[in-house]
Amino acid sequence: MQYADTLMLDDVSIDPAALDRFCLEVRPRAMRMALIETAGNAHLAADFVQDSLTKLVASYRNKSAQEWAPLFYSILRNRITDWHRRKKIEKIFDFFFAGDDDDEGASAAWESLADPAPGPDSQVGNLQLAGRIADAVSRLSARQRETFLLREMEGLSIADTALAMHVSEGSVKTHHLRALTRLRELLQSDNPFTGGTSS
Amino acid sequence: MNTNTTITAADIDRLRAGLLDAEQARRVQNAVQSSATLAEQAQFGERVAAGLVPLPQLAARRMARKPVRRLRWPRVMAAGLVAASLATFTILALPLLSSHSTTPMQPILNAQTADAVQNIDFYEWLASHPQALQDTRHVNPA
Repeated sequence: MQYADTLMLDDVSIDPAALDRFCLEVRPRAMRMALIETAGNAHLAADFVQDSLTKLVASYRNKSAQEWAPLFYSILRNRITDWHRRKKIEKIFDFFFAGDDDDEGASAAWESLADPAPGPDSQVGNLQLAGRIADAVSRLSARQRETFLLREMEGLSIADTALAMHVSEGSVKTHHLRALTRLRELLQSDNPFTGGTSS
Repeated sequence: MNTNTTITAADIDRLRAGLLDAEQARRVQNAVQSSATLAEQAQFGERVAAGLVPLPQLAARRMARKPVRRLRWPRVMAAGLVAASLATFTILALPLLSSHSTTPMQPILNAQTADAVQNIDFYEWLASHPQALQDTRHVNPA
């Protein structure tokens, strides 16, 4: 009998270990998404992911395991959207601060960060490719980017993606198609089927 | 979607996005399963997403390069000077503006007062003779 490891909340049996596993598995993928949305601010991205996981565990642990992913990404999206709004207001005061222009210049190109990398050529190649992909994904519209990452990276279903983004399923399909089409254009040189090189 | 037998990347993307009906989806799926090239094309999105795995390493380098955010004191001082000038101008200009606004009333009051002082005897006599005041009104109704 393993009832000791099982919580009974709102008529749904919850295995705490399953929630722990979910948190561990989703963290690196969520971190990548948060990094793209925060233009590479690792501290901020880690904070957003940690806060979202804490909120999920505190408020939604009694939900079924299938609902955790859309709920978690919905929380993460809200955090990031709030941050973007705050940043717009803070931008008014950027006139009084030095270094902002350099900061924006650096955040514009992920690929440039891979250039001076010491180490094996394959590692440099992977970093450069990751940089090019991140730059391409950053150039998508916010909705297209979220849809693409949730569908292709997280592997959420259309219904779960719609739930996480608070949009209709039709909207998810349209944004997904546009994101794929745009990424094929932007990453043409890396696509072996369009004359580029595979990595 | 293409109606001929050629399946393009756009058809595969529509399949991935869930925009094909059942018949079209089955046809594209069959084509993808029978062709290694199309199968590779169908994995485009997943491969792109997988390519983002080293992103935290790049982010760490970005954080290391990030310049320190510091105040631009000349701009702060300039803004302070502008604010102080505006405040000084307002403080100095307000009394002047308010005194200008009362100036047109002053001559009228002075004229009435001067008339009353010069003819005080007449007005005292008029106050003690109300009949004279009535006569004056009959002569000059205005």
